Order: sequence, then C-alpha cells, then structure tokens
Amino acid sequence: MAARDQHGPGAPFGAEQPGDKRNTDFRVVGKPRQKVDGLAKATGALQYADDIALPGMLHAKTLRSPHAHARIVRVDCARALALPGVHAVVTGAEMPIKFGVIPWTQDENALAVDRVRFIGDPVAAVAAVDEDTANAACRLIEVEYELLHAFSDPREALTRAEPAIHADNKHGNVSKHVHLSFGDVDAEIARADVVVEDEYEFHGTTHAPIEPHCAVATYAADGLLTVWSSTQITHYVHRALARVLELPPQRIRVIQPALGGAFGGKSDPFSLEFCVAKLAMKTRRPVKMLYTREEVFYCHRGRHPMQLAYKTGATKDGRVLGVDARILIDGGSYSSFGLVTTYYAGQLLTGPYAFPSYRFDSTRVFTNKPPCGPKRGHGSVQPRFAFEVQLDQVAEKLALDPIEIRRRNFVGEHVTTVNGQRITSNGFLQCLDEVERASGWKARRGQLGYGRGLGVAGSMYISGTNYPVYPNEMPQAGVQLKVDRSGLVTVFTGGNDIGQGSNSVAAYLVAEELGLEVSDVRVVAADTDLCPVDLGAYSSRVTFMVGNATIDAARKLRRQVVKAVAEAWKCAERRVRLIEGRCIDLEDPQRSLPMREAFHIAEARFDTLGATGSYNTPKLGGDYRGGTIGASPAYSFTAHVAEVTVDVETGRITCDKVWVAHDCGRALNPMLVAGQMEGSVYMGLAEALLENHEVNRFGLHSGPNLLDYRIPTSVDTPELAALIVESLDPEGPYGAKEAGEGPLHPILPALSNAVYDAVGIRLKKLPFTPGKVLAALRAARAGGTERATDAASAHSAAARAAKGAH
Amino acid sequence: MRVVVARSIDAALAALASATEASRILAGGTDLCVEFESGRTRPDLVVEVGRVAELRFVRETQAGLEIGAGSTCADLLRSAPVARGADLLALAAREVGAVQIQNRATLGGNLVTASPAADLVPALFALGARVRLASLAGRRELLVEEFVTGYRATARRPDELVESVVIPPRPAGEHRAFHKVGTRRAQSISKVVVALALGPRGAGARIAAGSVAERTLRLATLEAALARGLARERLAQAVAHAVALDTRPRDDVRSTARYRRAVLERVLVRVLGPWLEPEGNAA
Amino acid sequence: MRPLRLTVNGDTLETAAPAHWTLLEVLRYRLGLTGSKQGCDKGDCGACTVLVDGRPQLACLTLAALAEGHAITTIEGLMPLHVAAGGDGPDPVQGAFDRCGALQCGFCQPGMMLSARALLNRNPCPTRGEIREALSGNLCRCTGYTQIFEAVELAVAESLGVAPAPRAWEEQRMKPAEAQEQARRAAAALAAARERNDGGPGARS
Repeated sequence: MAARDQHGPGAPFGAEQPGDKRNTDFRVVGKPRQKVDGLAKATGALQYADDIALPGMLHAKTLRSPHAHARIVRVDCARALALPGVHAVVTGAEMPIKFGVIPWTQDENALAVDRVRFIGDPVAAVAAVDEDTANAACRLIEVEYELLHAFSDPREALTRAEPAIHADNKHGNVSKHVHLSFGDVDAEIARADVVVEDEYEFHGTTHAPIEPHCAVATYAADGLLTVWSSTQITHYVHRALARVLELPPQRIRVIQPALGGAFGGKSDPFSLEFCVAKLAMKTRRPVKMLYTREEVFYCHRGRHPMQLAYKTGATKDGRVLGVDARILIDGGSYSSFGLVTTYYAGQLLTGPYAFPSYRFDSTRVFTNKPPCGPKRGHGSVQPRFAFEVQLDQVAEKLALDPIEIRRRNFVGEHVTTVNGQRITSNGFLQCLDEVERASGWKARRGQLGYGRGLGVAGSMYISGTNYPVYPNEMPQAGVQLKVDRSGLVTVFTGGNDIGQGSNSVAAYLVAEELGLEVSDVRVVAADTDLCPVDLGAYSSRVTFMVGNATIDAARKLRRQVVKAVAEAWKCAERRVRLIEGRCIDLEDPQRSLPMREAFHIAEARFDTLGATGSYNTPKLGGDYRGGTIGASPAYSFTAHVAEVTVDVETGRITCDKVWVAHDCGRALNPMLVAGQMEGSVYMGLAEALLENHEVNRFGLHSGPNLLDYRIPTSVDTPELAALIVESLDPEGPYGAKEAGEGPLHPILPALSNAVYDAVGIRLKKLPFTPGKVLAALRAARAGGTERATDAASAHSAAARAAKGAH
Repeated sequence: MRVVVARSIDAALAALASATEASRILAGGTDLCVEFESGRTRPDLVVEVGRVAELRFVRETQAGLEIGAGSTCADLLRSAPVARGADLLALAAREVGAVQIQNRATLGGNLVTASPAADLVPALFALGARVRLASLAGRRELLVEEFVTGYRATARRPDELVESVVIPPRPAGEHRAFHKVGTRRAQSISKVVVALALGPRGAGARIAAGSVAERTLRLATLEAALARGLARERLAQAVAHAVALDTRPRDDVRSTARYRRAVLERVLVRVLGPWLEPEGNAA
Repeated sequence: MRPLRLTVNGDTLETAAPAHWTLLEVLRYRLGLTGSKQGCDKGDCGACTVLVDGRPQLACLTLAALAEGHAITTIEGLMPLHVAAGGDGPDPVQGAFDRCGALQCGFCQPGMMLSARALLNRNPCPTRGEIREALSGNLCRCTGYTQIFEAVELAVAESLGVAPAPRAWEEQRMKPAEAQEQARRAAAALAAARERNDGGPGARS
C-alpha cells in the first residue's frame, strides 16, 4: 500500500482532527526549522561543482558558434592540438547521437555535428592544463561555415519552412502544435453578455541562477565514468550520457553536488556534461568545465516568448462562459521540454476559475536563438498573465470588483475541470480573502490617488504531473532508508535538492514518522550509485512525490520496529509509540527505550534494518491525446495583491509591496514555504519590470551578463508579505502540496492591473519598461484611456500562427 | 605582460616612461580586471598604483579642493571636505555599483576609463574640475572637458598619470543637483545621468549629462539660454531644444535614444524649474 | 608566475599565481578556500565578496597582488574568528541566516554574510533601509532577500537581547496584538540602541 492511501481518518499516525488545521500532534513538521545543510552552507563548507578539485585535473572550454544559422563545412583542430598544454579536443563528429529530455523530440547534439543553430551553439571542446590554455586552443580551432538564413521572428518561422532549422523535423520549422477544445466555445461566447478580445505578449526571460553550470568527470581504469554535475535532474543526465557516449548505464555514475540555484535552467542535459565525460575518456584524466556567465546565457532554456490572443465571454454577473486562446511560442533553436511547454500553455489555465468551455491553439516554432525550456512556472506564466489581465478587463466592463469576479468564478474543491483535470483540495477563496484583508483592498483600491494603485491576480499550478517524461510503469519517486546501530537513520533519495530544501523535507518526514530528532537523520541524495531513482527537481513534484515515498518507507520501517518491540514487551502493537527519540509504552509510562535500543531489538528480530518506499501517481487526466500532460495529483493555488507607484515623468513603475497568499496544503516547514513564496514573487516581479532576455535580429544576445540582464538587487525588491494558506490535501504528504512555482504566476498580471488602477493604462506587453509606460501615458493623453493601451495590431499574430499551423 | 607595482608617484612615473598605447594603469581594478577576464585587454605593461598612498588624499587648498586620483568612492562618501566643497561628487559616488565596488573604484579610474555612462565624470564637469597630470616630462593641468575627449578616450598620454583633480571653490549662491536614472537601483548603469551647477538667475551654469552621447558632455545650448536669463515658463521649450541639439543618444541594451531624450528633458525641467524666476521677474 | 604572500583569516600564506590572477582565483584554486564563489564574469554578482581590512570588496576585481599586506577574511574565517574571540560556534550572522531560512541554494550567501558582517561591525543596529543598502552589491536569486533582511535583524535583536519583530510569514500566525507588541518592543530596543550609538563607532559612516 502506498503512503497516499494511509492519510485521513484511520491513518496510523498524524490523523486529522476535524477542524484542526494546524495538527498539534506533529512533533517535527509544521514548524520553522533549520535546513539539514544550513550551517554547512553558512560556513562555506558545502561543496558545489566548481569547488571540486581532483589531482591532475584538466580544464576544458567550449568553442561556440559566432553564427546564428550555418552549415559546418569543416572543423580543423590540428593547430589547437599542437598547442603546448592541450591534452585533447573533441568535436561533434565523435558524439553524433542526438539526445533530448523528451524521447519524441531528441534533436540536440553534445557538440554541433553539421550545423549550428544559434550564436553560442557549442562546436568543439578542448581539455588543457588550465583555462587560459584551453581558451587559447579554442581560438586555434578552424571552423568553416556556410551561412544560412537565420530566423529571428517566430512569425516567419511559422510560415517559412526552408531552410529547416531541424532537417528531420516533419513540420518545417514548427516544433509542436496543439489544438484542444472542450465544450462549445463559440456557442458559449455567442451567448455571453460581455466579450473581451485582446492580445498580449511575453518577451522572454532566463533563470540566472548565481551558480554557473559546471561539470567534472573522471574515467577510472576499470571503465567507470563518474560525472559530477550542477544538474537538477540526475536521472536524465545519466540516461543521456549512456545514450550519447554509448556506454552501459551501469558503468556511469552521476552525482549532483550542492547546487547553486536552478529554477528549471539545469533540467536539460547540457553539452558540458558530455564534453567532460568524453574528454576524461580520451585523456584518462579528471576534466572540469565551468561555464562563464556569458555561456550560461547561451544555454538559456528560459521562459518562452509568447504572443497570446485571448477572447473571454462572460455573463453580466461576471461568470466566465468561454475562453478562446491562440498562442504563438518562440522556442528558440531546440526542442528541450517544448512539447510539454506547448501543452502547458493551454492545459494549466483551467483553474482556479471554472470555464464551462475552453479552446486553445498553441504553436511552438523554432528560431535561431538560444533554446527556451522550462523556467519556474513552466509554460503557464505567460498565459496566466494574459488571462488575468483579460479578467480584469471583463470586470471593468461589468463594473465588478476584480476580487469579486475571481470569487464568482471559483472552480471549487474536489471537481474535475473542463479539460479533465482532477482538482482535490483548493484554498483559493481563502487566498483571495487573505490578500484582500492584508492589503486593505476594500478601503484602499482606487483611493490611493493618481500614480498609485492596487492590482490582484490569481493562479493555479501543479504538484508534479503523472506524465513521467519517458513512458514507464515504475514509480516516479523512490526512497531507501538504512538504520545504523548508532541510532542514525540515513535516507537515500534520488531527489535533487536545488536549494528548495528537499533533503531537509525528507529528513523532517523521517524524523516525524520515527519519532527521531532531525539531527538523527542524514540524507544522501542525487547520486545514481547510491540512491533509488527519482525523476528530479522539476514540475514542483519533489515535496509531493519524494515526500510520499519517504513517508511510505518510514512507515514500513516503523512497523518493523513497533512489531519487534511489542513482541519484546509482550504487549499489543498499538501500545508502542515512537516519539521524541524514544520508544514508549502508551499504557505504562515507566516502560520506554531509547530509539537506538529499539532499533537493536528490531534488527535482532528481523534482519539488517531498512526499508524502501515509493510514489507513483494515480491514473489522472483527460481521456484524449495529451490529457495526462498537466494532470497533477494536486494543485496549488495563489492570489497576489500588488501595490505600485508609477512615476509619470520617468515612466518607472515601483512595486511597493506584494501580498502573496498561497495554498500549499500543509506547510511542512512554514519558513521554507515562505521563502519559496517570496523568492517566486521576486522572480516574477523582475520578469515584469526589469529583465529581458533579448536577442537581436542577427541572433546576438543583447547583454549576456548580470549587469545588463537586470535581476533585482536588495534595493529593487519590494516588501513581500507571505500569507500561507493550508487546505490539507488528501493525497499529499501530511496534506502538503507545492510551493516553489505557483506563487510566481500572479505577480505579472497583478502589476499590470495595479498600474491600470494607478494611472489608467492597460499594459499588455511585457516587460513594462519605462519607455513603454511613457508611450502608453502619451497615448492615453492623446486619446481615450481605453485606446491608450499598447497599440493592438489589426491582425493577430497568434491568429495567423494558428492558421499557419493547420 | 609586465607588471610594475608602484609604491610612490615617482616610481609609477618611472615605470610609465616606457608605456605605450597598449599599457594600462591599474588602480582599483574594477574596470581592468573585467577586461582581463574577457580577454579584451592583454596589456604589454601594467603599472599598479593601487597602493600609492600619495594618490589618496583630500585637501583644501587656495585653488580649491584637491582630491587624489587614488581616492575610492568610499573615501569620497566619507570625506567631510568633499561633502562641503564637492557634494556632487559624493552624490555620484553613492551611485557607483554598490558597497564593494565603492570600496575599490577610484576617482582617477572613473576619469581615465571615461565611459560615457560614468557616474563621477558628469559631477566633475558640473563642478568645473581641473585634472592634474604628471609624467617624468613634467606636470600639466587640463579642464575636465578637455581631458575627456571621446568614447573611452582621454587626453592622457601613455606616460602620464592622473594625480588629482581640483575643484574650484564653490561660488556663493550656487545651486547644484545630481540625478541618475539607472537600469535598477543598485549595481546600475545609467540610462541618463545629470549633474549641474548654476548661479543665481542661471548665471555661470554648468550642466553635464552622461549616457546621452559617446562621451559625457555639457549642454551648451541650455547653459547659454540660462545665461541669457531663462524664464520658468520657457524652460521646457529650451530644454527640448538643447537636448535635441546637444545630445546624441543611441539605442542599446540599457535604454533607447527616445527614452533617454525624453527622460533627460523631464529630469532637467524638474531639477531646474524651482530655481528659475517666472516670466516678468527674469532678467 | 608571481609569488604572493597573503594574510587570509589570520594566517600568512605563500603561493604563486599568474600576474593577472585575481584574489578570487588565488583563494579558490591555489589556497583551496572555495567558500568564496564566482557567479559572474566579474564584478556583477557579489558572490566573491571578502573582507579586506574589514571592508567588503569583490575578490574577483581585486588583483591578488594588491591584496598583499591587507587582512583578508573569507567565509571560512568567520566561525574560527568568532570562536577565537571567545564565541561559541558559528558567527551570529551565520547562525541567524541558518535560522531564518536565508540559505536557499546558499551560493550567494558567503558573500552576503560577509557584507552583513561588515555592516554590523560598522553599524551594530542598522535599520531595514540600511541593511538593504549594505547588501545591494550581493545578488541573490532564490530568496527575494526578505529572509536575508530578517536574518540580519535577528542577529541585531539577539545582540540587543530582545525578540526580533515578527517575520512577515509569522505575523499572520500570531494574534494581531501580540505581533504588534513584539514589533513595538523590537523597534524600541533598536531605537534606544541607535540613540546610544549615535556619533559613536557604530554610527553610519
């Protein structure tokens, strides 16, 4: 029986008291706690990938394409190889097998084989005694290119198939097209009292974790390849290495050291992992490659630029009848997770509001730019922006309060959405109540004077998905526990702690179940030799899935200990309880044992002590092609209110404060949940106001550094008020859901809505640069406010997108 | 690359005697170390002056306030004489990078790098600063506008070292203002930076702007209009005229030419407005 | 190669490195002190912040040779220095960061904590605004800075012997009157301490 089946009444431990939202029975979870690796981080002791130094280690660098689109005619490495200090050079010809996270769209090479597809595409790699020498050698590699037409405008890529960026792609330069329709959208919109149709745009942003990508490889005399990599998905790197290097997977060990931030940007296998491996195999020496910040910008996999056309019909009392969406997605040069992105762009919009009918047409195209991929809130941040601004437009037409219209459309708890997604717990109404109360919405909205305003938005996000990326029937998460005679319990998990604290959560859960101190639990994670497979840190799946697997394992272990002690004490098992480091007899307070001794009894009674646990999703999703993509065992819900000040002279928008209420199910550690909420808001806010991953029409990145890619400093970040809402989920670990991605979504539309409240301009194209604000203000003064919005083009690019793709 | 660590001005000048166009002087290193990393610069000679104590001083003299070129932004922020006599420089120093950069970046470095987006340079323009240069051949003094000659270009010869700048005494009744519109609020590159000083009724105005041309410049047209006694009502028009005539902004990753012009105009109107007399009162 | 003699965390160490190497490269790749991080191609992120004679500076923009003759403190030195000064365990700043959730991925935090340490040495009772200002050269991509500010404020409150103002997420879980009272006490203690320090060594320079 899996852990998820044991919650609720009758669960052996931690049963819910009706009405008790903060179950006081818990000893470990539900309280602010330090992280298991907190002090190691605080003292600088923790090892990140670039902190690894091995005897005799070589340093590798990558030669990258200076052209946005070109055929490689010739690569000559002779002069590079002749440079003193150079040990090996590797080119694409030596690793011709393509890889990619999604098995159906494997279109990447470790190094370009016959074609480069963006400025920065890796072409060759050199291992040398030091980085300076490797760089010098890269400059000596001669590459002859034959230039091809480069696509920068996704609309062009949609209609022009030649030259194909991927010659073997079946649909010209269209990477993926999804058209799904639920209910009779046209009829519903036709009977609507009010219809709003408009266009929106998302520009493209990137993750910018402070740690650049880094990998180290060794190839032992016995043929074991070990790769340490700053990845957030060890398992996929493992699979991709085996595939590309044509090695049996059991001869490869992948380890994720401490990771300096990821946000989705370290989800794909990257060129450097293959390069260090191949170079280590060629030289039989350890090899390290550390990307420069500039290279991190070329790796990208950031949030897709999207052009979005939305039409919403509603009744006069504000109930949404139908939503019709057309989305053109600029994918950049490779597929990455793009298949999923194309689905998510439509599939994840059907909450927290009920749509009686819904249709989306979503097309992803290839262009000659750094590849886009999954970034925190994968695929759904852009559509969410468009829809939440449009919902405010509907509210305005109906003279409804923006919070009220959101309440009226609440989808409900334990319902199935129009596209067949099963929603379980849902605390969205409480989220709205919280932000309304805390922000003083009723008294302050519209009352702050010209230049200041409040805006609201809501959202929904997944806690993992039952789409396992590559088809298989095995668990999505596995955990193994090992008990030492010292009393220490070690958790082995394939889960990737990327700073979100998943190792800590695993330790809390084991400590909770076994009645141990958290310090009596150690976690070994993300090492393919030691840990059972977990599918990695993406889709906000880790707390939910690894959490459930951990509880599953811990309960199996607990049952063994309880049984053994009950036998030794000759009492009923129900009297034996593990609590606060001791095994006690509930009916005889005099009788108790330290856990260590209880473990000894259990080990003597059974065998070497340990347990495995796993989690897999129940069958979920709509019964149609793509119906499982975006189907999650539980959804989180968020509402934001943002307060802004608009400087009408400089056009600068200052966000003064954000109230963020997030339903994360049970907050296993409210302090870590708050940290995820605050970090999410900060990141989304920057996407709206500061950041722009811009590539010019020649394919050149506009500013691949942290000065020009403007992530906010401490003085750019507003006051953030995290309001935790806990709608205990029936299937989450102790009722927990996700907290790391959902809370990002609403801030972008909330800011746009707040600016409208402040100065009456409707910003529909991101980012909200001061120049755009000034232009919109000028237009507002020239004409009516409604027409003052960013000039809506007569023809919808997204509509053309849909036509082109049919 | 030959590296000479100078401990005195004399030692630095001796080392610079053999300098070429490809040689560099390293003070705080906040610009040069970035160039080393990117491979943009592989100088034949680097003369380190970061530890030349003689270059790090602030003293009040007859000629005005003399500030050693080796003074860091943090030094400028902490100096009482600078706060009194060269307040614009302290305001500008606060805008350079953040604390860590302010602790290393020097006045001389900002001046010699001569970036069009430099924060300290417009302040020096508005203060009417003079730049003191030394070489084995002797010493000379240039007005800061003569010193900054173009995009990252100065009148400094390869064998010369910027020793100090001299800020003339503050005339009675002079108004001063500094305003930066940056890409963000710290660690920020300016989109527009304005530093200005003007006497009563607009006399003797020095209005400097950064990031609106290939080099820091003075808005001569506006200064002339002010000198003629500009009325408050005519300010916006005069500013627009001057910005159109005197600046040459361009589009780049930090902003657009259009935005730079628009914001420069608004900042100037906002800053100058209160000091001008309404029509009828003007001279 | 240039011979170098550096004073790091109280020890005088000799090594050699290419002339253009920065202090960061020497710390990380010659001296094995990998707590100082590299997050950018120089000068933009603050992850390499170290203290040079007590002042925060970017090790990546400091030519190693220019660090000779100065006292350098890296993150590895904070706890030993605290213990040597009679303290117990990690520096109060490190402990507060750990207890406030300020360490998500942790990569930027060595630099952040050194900036915070320098601030508190100079100004033991900073306001939220002064904390923001002092940390504005250290980019963090995980936290949104809030829990970092709270950590510095916790370290301050503990040095004053009072409970800190309730953290943003805590306030919602407390009785409003209780939260207000705790915030009021913390603010009063801070104000009184700032009054005492006014013009003294703690005054902001």
